[in-house]
Amino acid sequence: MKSTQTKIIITSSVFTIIVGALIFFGVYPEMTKYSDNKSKLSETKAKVEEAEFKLSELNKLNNKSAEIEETKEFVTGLLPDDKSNSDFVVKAEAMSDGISVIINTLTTGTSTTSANKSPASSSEKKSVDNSVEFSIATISSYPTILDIIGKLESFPRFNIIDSLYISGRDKDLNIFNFRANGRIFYGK
Amino acid sequence: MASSTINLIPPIIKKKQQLKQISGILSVTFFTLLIMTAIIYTAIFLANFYTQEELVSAENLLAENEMKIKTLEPLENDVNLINSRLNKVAKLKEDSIVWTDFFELFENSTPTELFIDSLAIDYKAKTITMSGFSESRREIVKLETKLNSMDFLSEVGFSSSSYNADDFNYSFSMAGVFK
Repeated sequence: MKSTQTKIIITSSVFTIIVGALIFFGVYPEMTKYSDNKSKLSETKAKVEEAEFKLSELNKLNNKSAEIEETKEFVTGLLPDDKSNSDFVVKAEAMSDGISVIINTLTTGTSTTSANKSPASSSEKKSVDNSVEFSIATISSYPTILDIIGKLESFPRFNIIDSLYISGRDKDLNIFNFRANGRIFYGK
Repeated sequence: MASSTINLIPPIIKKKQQLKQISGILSVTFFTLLIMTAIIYTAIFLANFYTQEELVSAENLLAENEMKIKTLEPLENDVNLINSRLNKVAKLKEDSIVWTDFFELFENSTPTELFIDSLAIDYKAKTITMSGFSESRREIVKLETKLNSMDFLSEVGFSSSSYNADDFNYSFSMAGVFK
């Protein structure tokens, strides 16, 4: 009878060990693997969703690639990577031809780098401006002077006019000496 | 009438039967446990198999999308460049003035009987000075008032005005500051 009892105890122990081993070496690692894969999958799915959104946005842009190329050309003309003084001079000459005025003096001078704090914003954010000073002088009638100012404002190279001088009126011809000093900008 | 049962099985056999019963219960329990473990393992294995399949296809899709994005990246860089340059221009414009607008307002503020000979504007120093002539001092005061009411200017005042006997007019010089 004792041997039957021992048999039951041994068999029970063996079965317990077998089931335990199956859980420990089979079920548990598989479960860990599954949970890892599940979290990886949700992560990857989120990435796919993000990539698909980005791709759809880029595809929309791709449909407008010609327009973008055109705008890029315009914008890099407005604010080129480097000083491009000669380009400005050529364009200014072309502008004067357009309104039939002789620009007596056209100079592009020293380049400056200044840190400007925008007065419009209350934050202390500063922007670095790379600029080259220019000066344009001519003798013209008042309407032509206004034309020159208007052309400079719609100039393909972005510029800011800092000072304007209209003086020395010729009473007979009703013309003035005109000078405008300003800055053209560049930089990435 | 009361009834009574007599246990005729000897205790040793009874004990044997009890042990047999326990052994049977334990066998069924272990067998059930084994089957359940096998079922759970299979279920997890299958779920993992399909999750892995799904993961591989998601990773492939991601790689495909990333490759497509990479080919379109120059376009994105172009757009970023355009935006950054336009932002820079907008920021620079904040500190400047549209001179055509200014001159339009300036012209509208100037009385018809008043003429301006010279005009000097230094926007960096925020100053404006002008000189000219008028048929009467009233026109000069009118100009001063109108310029002071402009959004661009303040503190405009004429420092001198004198009568020219030769031309029968009043010359003046005026100065102000930009807001």
